[in-house]
Amino acid sequence: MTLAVTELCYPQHGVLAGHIALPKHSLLGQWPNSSRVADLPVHVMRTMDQHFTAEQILALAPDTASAKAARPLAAARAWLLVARNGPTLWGECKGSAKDPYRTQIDLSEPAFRCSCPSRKFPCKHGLGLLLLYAEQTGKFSEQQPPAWVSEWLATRSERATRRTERQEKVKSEEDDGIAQQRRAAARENRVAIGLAELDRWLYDQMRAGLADLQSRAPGAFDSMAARMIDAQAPGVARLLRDAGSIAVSGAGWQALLLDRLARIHLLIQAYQRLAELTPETQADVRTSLGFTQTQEEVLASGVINDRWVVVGQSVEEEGHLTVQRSWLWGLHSGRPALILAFSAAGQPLDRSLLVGALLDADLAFYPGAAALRAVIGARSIADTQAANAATLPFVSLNEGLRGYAAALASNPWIERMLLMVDAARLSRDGERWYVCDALDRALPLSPRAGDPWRWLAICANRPTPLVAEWDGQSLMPLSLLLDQRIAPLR
Amino acid sequence: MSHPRDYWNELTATALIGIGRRPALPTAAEPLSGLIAGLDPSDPAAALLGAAAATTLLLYAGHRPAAAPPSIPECDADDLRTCGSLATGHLAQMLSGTNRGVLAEWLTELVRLRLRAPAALLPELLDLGRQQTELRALLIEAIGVRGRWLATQNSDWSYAAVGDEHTAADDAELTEAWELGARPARLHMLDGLRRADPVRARALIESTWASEKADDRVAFVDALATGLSASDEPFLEAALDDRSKDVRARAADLLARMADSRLAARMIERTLPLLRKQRGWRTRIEVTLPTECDKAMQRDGIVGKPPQNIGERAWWLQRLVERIPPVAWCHAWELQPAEIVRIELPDEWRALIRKGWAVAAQRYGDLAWLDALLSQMLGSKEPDLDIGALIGALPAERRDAALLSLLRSHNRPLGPAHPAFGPLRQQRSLWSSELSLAVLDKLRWRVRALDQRSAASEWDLRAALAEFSGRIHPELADQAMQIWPPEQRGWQDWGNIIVAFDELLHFRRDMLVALHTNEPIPAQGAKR
Repeated sequence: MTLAVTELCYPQHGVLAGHIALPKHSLLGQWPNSSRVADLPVHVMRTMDQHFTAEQILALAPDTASAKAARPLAAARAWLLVARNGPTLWGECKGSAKDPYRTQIDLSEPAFRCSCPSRKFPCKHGLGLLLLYAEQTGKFSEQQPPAWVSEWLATRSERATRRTERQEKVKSEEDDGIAQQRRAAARENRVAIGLAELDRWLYDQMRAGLADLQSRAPGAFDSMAARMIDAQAPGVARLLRDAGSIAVSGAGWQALLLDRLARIHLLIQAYQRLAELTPETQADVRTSLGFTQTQEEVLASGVINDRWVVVGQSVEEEGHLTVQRSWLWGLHSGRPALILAFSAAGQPLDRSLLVGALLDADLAFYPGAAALRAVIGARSIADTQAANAATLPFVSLNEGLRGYAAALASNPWIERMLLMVDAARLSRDGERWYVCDALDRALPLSPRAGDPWRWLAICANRPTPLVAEWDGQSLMPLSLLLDQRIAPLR
Repeated sequence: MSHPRDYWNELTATALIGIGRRPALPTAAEPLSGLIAGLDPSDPAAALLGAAAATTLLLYAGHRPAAAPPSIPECDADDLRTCGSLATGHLAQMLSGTNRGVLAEWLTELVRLRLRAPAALLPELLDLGRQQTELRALLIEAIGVRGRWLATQNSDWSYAAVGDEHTAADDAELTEAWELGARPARLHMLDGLRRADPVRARALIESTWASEKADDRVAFVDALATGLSASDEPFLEAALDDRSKDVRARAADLLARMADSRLAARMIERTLPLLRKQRGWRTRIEVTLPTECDKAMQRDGIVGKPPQNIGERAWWLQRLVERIPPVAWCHAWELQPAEIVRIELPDEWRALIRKGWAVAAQRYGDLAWLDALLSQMLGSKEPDLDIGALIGALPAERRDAALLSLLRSHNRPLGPAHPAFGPLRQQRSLWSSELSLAVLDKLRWRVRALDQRSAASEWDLRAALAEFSGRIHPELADQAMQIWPPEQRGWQDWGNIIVAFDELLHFRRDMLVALHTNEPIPAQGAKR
């Protein structure tokens, strides 16, 4: 049996209302069932006794080797001493060096520090200490922190203060940058010239045909991408490299490649008519082209304070870059937020967003018609196990895709969207896996997810709420809601 | 009205060969037609990209989930409680490779306590059982209903895809499960049934015997080793004429463990005349080698080629002596085993015959013979038989006592030179506290005599320490640490051996305590 997904349903708002003039409304408020969540009373106690599960902690490991190495360190015997003071843990671990390694953890983020020479972050000692704490909290007696712990706490709070100051400085500097304005104008000019060139290149490709283009892939894409880097449009460069890899990806490449080229064309057209567009769409166009804003700028533009549940997380390699995508859900605001973290090859990622945790945080959204991406300002963990997870708006596949259609209508360059599927089960057709819902509808599971044995084992294929990412083609599962708690699938 | 997907396919086809070669756009239908009519037609390439952008977005936005293929059936309700979070941590550690050698001990305790392994680790456990076949029987119990259900979804795990067939209530259900089951399920079923109702299990085998493939027949005969009794004799005797050489050999092997089988009687008749007791002022034995190995002997399992350093006829004799019940010598010579083992044998054949007797005593589990041979070995300065194998043939509850008396009968430190050293390494089972203490006591004596130089070359002792730390009673973990002189912990390499020894013993203690206390996983999402 093969599945042909051809049933179409047209979104009410005009995706195609003149393919450049996009609708003005934002996604906010259209998110299915958002009212259901917004009405919920949030009464999660801030507790000093944070409880982490072993899988949450191991998901923090930078790689599987570190997770393995951390396991034996989760035994009290491995430590010369362990102690705590409020949300601070510390321990001394006998390692191969003469002096024991000094490991400390601030549970409120959590943040790690260790005196061992490992370049992994968090290192096995940090993970092991946290595992030990999670499994045998009683071994940690309340003590006054020694100097090496209190010094670290002091530098951390100092750094936080400096960060706030920097944000305020950005605010005050915004007005006085004549030189900055000149630089910005020069860049706009370069981008415009680069895009005009890319436009002509695209037309040439369409005349010669995709078959001809494929024979020159991915080289032809890479050299055009390099040209876009020179033109200071790195976002387009990334889209081109992506298209180049699609061209050599095998079966079905023709339609996928045309889709990507058409969206690049749409982006160029939009930029050429930028002044006619709404400010939100202008922002989406500029973001897609690769104009960036610093986190401080975004934070300075205003924040939303809410209780945010970290519902899912994925980590992927994109070229030399590791990209971590964390999806948050605001309990009052009833909206999703995407927090991106990047690291160059070998560098540690910011692993402080624990899947399943509830954060009390200020989020600032990057501007855009379907604003998804955000940065986190001030925050603290309200609870390591979000108690309200069961009240998150999990929906049918149909309804989830309606939300995706709405977002696409606002921003045609959206690549992935959060989908929270209610009563998800797995089904299989030969070697292909599908996620199906209570209405017996199905979407294919992403090939990147591999065989979902772990998922099948922990949910026994009973209908289970699922957090996933939808890229328009397939679902990438991120976590499950099991026993009222969000459990990462990684 | 054509579907937008058809239009998209036409656009893709046009783009593939190039709009330069096919300069007209395909005709669109509603709702795309109005939009596409609005595109600037002056540049066909731009119009193609514009039309493609509109169409692809329509398709992405309009994508709807298809009808689901048949869902994988839900798992039945779980039968057992899951082990706690601490125990889960221990299992995760073993699966990641640390202390994996004691996984069988952990699984045994888990099954004994009627607990099951945590769901999230089932795929790793099932993968482990693919290579480690000796763990399978335990694994099948330890993974519970959930794991056995999961195994039915993946052909790599078919060995564990077994149901509760052997508990089937009536014969009709049982027969159906037997006739329809896949090989792993049938073997699991046989294993369970042979323990509970061996006759019923053999009846199942016989019911389909004629139509089974050779490798299945071999596996079924092997399965009869569990719960073997005289009632299996007629079936096995008939299997001596099976088409398959392997089936014949396996059947002969089983029959040569049953003292009252017809095969044993035939073997006795062949063998007794070959060893004749001579009366004189000292009892002597005269040995005649068999002259041929005829069809009948081959049918009874005297097959194969002799090893290099032994003649064909001598080898036939050894095989015959190994395969007759040793009690036959007692009857023929009217002597007790303890007397027979002391009879002087011709130098040329002494080793061969004594080895044959030892093997026969082990095959038939003849306690009088085992005791006679063992007590002779305990008193001997140069034991000529494999003491470890003799002890291994004793009933489980007597093995520790035998090891203990072997250990005590030689008052010297426990190193490779001690006769108990080899047998202690051979026994795979866990030791009692009493045996463990005795081992530790003699081990302390040995390690105290070491210096840094000699410790570096103690390869046998090092290997043994790794094995012993998996068998010493875990409640002695703290006491065991005290056998080491403190300065030895600082010695290069040797210090690591000590750390590994302590570590494994403590890990075993901790893992068993965790299973016994089995605190539940803290309520999910609960606040403290």
